[in-house]
Amino acid sequence: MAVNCKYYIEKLSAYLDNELNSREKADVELHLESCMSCREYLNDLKQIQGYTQDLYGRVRKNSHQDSLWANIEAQLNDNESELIELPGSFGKKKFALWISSAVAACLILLAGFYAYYAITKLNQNQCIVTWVESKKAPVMVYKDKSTNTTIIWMFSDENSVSNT
Amino acid sequence: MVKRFILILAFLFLSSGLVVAQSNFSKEVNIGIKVIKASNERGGIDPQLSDLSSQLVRLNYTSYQFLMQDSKTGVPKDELFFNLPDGDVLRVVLLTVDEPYIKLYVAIKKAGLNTNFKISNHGTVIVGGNKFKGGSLVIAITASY
Repeated sequence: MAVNCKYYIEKLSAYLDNELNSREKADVELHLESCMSCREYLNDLKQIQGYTQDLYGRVRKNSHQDSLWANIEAQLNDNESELIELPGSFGKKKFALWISSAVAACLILLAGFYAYYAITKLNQNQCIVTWVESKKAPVMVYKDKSTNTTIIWMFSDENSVSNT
Repeated sequence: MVKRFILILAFLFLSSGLVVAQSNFSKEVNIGIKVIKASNERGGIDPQLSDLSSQLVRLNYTSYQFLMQDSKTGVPKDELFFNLPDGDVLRVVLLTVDEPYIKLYVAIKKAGLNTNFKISNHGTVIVGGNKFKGGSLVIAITASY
């Protein structure tokens, strides 16, 4: 490659994109006629440009959206099920399972609290006397269901317990 | 996945059971007493006894005079003692807490009364019959945790 080829290589990309003025374009073409390495470099550039345009065209063809990144994103979303889940990653399916487990656990806890509250409320002021004895006077256990009242009463006479 | 879900539920259930059992064993119980003189004098129900009025009227006295109140706290197996106005002593032993019930042993020493009962949380039981200043001494025992 000749020393001045460096100058023309820098111009070749602009030449290919038709961005040079007529004078520069004529100068580049004159050099290309006499320089084989620059012609080969130009051919390489043309091939790369061809590949890029082909790839871009394929993406555009598969979608009606204008933005390249929007197209790529849309295609990624379409193929989401085919993506490989990396070990340890927190996928949407796992997340949904954890959420449903948490909701189920909360419901069970709520049901437990409700049952506890209901039992406590139902048994308000309940008393069950299992055993009673009085050494000095007869004793009676009276239960009134309407008011949930339990009375343990000793029938002591005046002398059985010292009065103060 | 289903197996894991069942395991999580089983773990939650068992751990909640253990927590409840542990909390019942060391649960603090408050015993409150109100001492009343019930007689057939004039007077009706003392305003300080309004919360007990529906239970006291079952005793068929015409007057219910508030004498004193006291409250003490303990855990199961503790013994609590309350001095009564007639010089007697009320002994309460906290036996167990078996939700929603509290099991108690109650004794009035000089009167010679001994009883075992279980009472619901915030429940009240009326114990009485000792003669006192022309009437009867009535003790309302309330237990709560």
